[in-house]
Amino acid sequence: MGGGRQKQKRRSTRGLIVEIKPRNVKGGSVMGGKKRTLIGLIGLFMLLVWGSSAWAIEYGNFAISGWLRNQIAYNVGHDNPNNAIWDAKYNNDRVHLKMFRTAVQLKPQYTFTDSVSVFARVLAANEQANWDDNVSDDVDFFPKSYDGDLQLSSDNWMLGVKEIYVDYDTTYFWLRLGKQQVSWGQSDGLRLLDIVNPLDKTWHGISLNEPYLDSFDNLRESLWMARATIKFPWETENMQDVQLELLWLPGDFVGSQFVGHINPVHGSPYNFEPDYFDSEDVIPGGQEWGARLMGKYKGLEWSMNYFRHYEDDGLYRVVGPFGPTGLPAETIHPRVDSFGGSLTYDDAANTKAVYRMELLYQDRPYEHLATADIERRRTVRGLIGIDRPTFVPYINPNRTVSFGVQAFVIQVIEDGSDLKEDGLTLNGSHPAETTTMFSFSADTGFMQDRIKPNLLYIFDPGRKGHYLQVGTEVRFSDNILWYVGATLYDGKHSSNAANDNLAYFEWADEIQSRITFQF
Amino acid sequence: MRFKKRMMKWTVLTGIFLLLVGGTVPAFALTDQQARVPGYVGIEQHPDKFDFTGMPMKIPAGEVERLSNGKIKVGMVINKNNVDSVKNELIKLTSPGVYNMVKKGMEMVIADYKPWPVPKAYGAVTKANAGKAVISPDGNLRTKDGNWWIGGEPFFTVDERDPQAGVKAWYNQVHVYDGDDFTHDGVNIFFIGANGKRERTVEMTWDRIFLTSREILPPKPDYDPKTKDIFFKELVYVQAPADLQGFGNLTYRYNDQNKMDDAFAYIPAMRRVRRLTSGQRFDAFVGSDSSIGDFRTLDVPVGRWNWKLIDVQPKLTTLFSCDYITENKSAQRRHPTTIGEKFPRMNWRLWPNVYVIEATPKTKNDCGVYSKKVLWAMGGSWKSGLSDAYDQQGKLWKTTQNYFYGYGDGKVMDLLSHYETDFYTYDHQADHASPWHIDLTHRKFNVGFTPERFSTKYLQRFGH
Repeated sequence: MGGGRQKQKRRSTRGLIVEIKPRNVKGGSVMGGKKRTLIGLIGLFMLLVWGSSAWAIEYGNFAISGWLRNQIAYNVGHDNPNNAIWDAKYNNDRVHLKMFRTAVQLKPQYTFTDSVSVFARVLAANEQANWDDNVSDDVDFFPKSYDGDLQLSSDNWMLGVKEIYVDYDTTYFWLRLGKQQVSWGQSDGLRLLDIVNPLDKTWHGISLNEPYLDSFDNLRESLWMARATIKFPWETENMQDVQLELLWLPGDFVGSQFVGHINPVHGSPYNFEPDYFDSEDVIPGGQEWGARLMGKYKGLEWSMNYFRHYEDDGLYRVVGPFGPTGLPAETIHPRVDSFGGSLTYDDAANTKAVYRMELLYQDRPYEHLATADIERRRTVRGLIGIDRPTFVPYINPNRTVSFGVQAFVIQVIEDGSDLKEDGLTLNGSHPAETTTMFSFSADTGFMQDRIKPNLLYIFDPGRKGHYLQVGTEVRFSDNILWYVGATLYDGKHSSNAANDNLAYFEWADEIQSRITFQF
Repeated sequence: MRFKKRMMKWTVLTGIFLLLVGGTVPAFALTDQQARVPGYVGIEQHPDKFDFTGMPMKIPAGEVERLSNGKIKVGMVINKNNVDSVKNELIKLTSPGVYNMVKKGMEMVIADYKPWPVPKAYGAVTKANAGKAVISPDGNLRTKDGNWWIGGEPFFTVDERDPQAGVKAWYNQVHVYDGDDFTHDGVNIFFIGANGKRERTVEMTWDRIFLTSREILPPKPDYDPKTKDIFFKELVYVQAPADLQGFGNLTYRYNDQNKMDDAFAYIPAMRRVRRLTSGQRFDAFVGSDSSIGDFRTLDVPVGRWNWKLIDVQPKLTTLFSCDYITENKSAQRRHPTTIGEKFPRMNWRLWPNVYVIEATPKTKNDCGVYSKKVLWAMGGSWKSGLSDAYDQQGKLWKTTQNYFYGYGDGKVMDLLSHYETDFYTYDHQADHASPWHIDLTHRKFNVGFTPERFSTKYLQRFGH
């Protein structure tokens, strides 16, 4: 069943050495000779604004909706330190324009019968961040490449089928076959049980950009899988809506392959991996599968989860001394068995709040960079969250403010105190025996939700790290939406030159604008 | 696996062109007149299918005129130019909210009385269960042997001297005929600004199944003894706009009227079902002027509010508020409006005995935004056509209305069909309106749904 391993240098993953050509010498303007394109895009948006009152288009059983979007991210942080550690050829001047992306998404759907339908999500994008003189023209902004990715791309363009699947649904059985996304768990922003699909971090950097700055369905990489859901036909007065969900990810069994997190390449404004790593990705060939049993007991919604998978982050294994291309290393993806569960309860009558709890247990692999060994430590991740929409008349007399708080903990329960002594790291970062984080979020809507400000704050008290995300969505019409926001990292810097503290990501601070025409 | 740049450009340009063309194609819409739909005649054609018990077939000619000291007559149009000449009479026959809306530009067409019957099958259940309903000490509606209510109107006659008259009239409203299940496809919520222009539109589908108090479809009155505590399950899923498309909501409503709903939402961008709190029933629904608690003019657990009967009096109501109705599947209804789309221009007909109820939350926890709601239950039909909501300072805030169009005519629609066609909320303080069009052509009653459809599985399947 394809249990063997393949080694390949994937354009999509860490370790790819980007061949930097001499940069074109451009004028002082960031836009340079691209004004025509920019004017064209503005003209197109104006045309759409004035010329249309569009909705999803329906022709009988066929329907299609979608959007045209432009995203601009402007750097308000520091230089990206990862692009010029090892090789002086890499530019480490401060990049101003981190993203200038124009994308079109179409979601066609055809319904054959009430039970059978086909759905697809097609995405095309153009990235022009290298209009900034400090971003090399040779950076590959769309490096994703794996068997079955259904994507065609060049450095600045991509056209891909992000999702495509067929549904077969009956009263008690539902089967979804194809390239799809599955999201488990109840946490916001911080991922615990949400481990089925990896993240495509080439789309918009590290994962903290969700949920406001970019939506999960863009940041998550869809995978080929079979997903079957069986609804139990028996219910009792107290136990209802019980379902068993089974997942099978075939790996290389049917021409696809394992896919871990997809990272930006060296030279990209979003690159978060030191460029001295010259790493080969060792792709496991086996299958992954999982099961989730869920239901509702009285007022309590519950789930029990199991997923047998490969580590998405990948672990480093140094395989030789520094050479002309950097530190030779392998990125391996060991097997992991993840056990977890979640509970939610709505105390609508008294505190008017929803309480969420989520737990994940793994015998988690850690890397030992010096010896190239992998050691496992039993690790638990837990989360407690409270959501409470609240009327605060002096903020908004007509609409509740949705407040959310979360406490998140990672506890290494087996020899956790020895992690440092044993020299164990995790993807190059230095995990602590206990990592605790708290998050606070708030959002509301003014003028019939045509203006929707939001805020997300994450605090790591152990490492004194902060993350703040503020922004607002402005809805000009049913078709035109504009989001403007900022992300800011701050805190005490770690002595380790590794991404184990929020403060490390200060270089990722940005202001973002996203304008969308949707239909 | 790389495209030539030129090929990519043309692909994207073609996509943009298709998007432009697709986006600018107008929705296929016909008015009823354009669709050449004959006048609505369902009841007149099938009088034997309906039960008129409890309501007069006619009222004396000139009754509106008599009640208004000769100032308001059938056929008259009340608008902002003449409303002050009939101010006191209009407030007496409607409400302060309606008067203010006319002052702001609404027009009312005064029309003849029409009785509002129920389907015979439903009327038969009401008669069979007459005298069996009681209000238990915990404020719940039960049968005399302690079970949950078994269908039909629980209190066919309500004595206004009864101390429980208010809550009994409202329980009648809760149990008006809705079919044993229904589906409404293409429910449109419009957000209308002060200038009458449409600011936003949300289109959704609304399905419901009653698991107890079933009158028409077997099994009845309970679907299953194991689910006898659940009054109904409901699915709402959004079709448009694109950023909300696929958002779905699953609600469990319980027979215990002290218990809040259980609510689950599917959020497509997260690909996840999330638990929602049903505690804030008066938060603006998707940002509109209406809240979930405003549905049907007031949609709350009955046990958590006080229901005081203020009066029983004749009122101008919105039963048969529109003369025409279309069953052309391709047609999109356009009823007349004034001030752009802000105010519906509808028929108002006298109903002889409207129970006017003052509803107040028992605690601020039950409703923190309204000090009270003054609402109607129309005796005999027991529909609620209108409520005025007052803010915490006692100032008029919102008027919520249901505009009822009538029954099916037995050709395309089922004779058992009837429902409010428009749900409407006007915010007096913001001068903003949210009309909901629930088109009759896209609805079915007594479909034969099974409870299994109303699950989180279905939310995920259709939300993508």
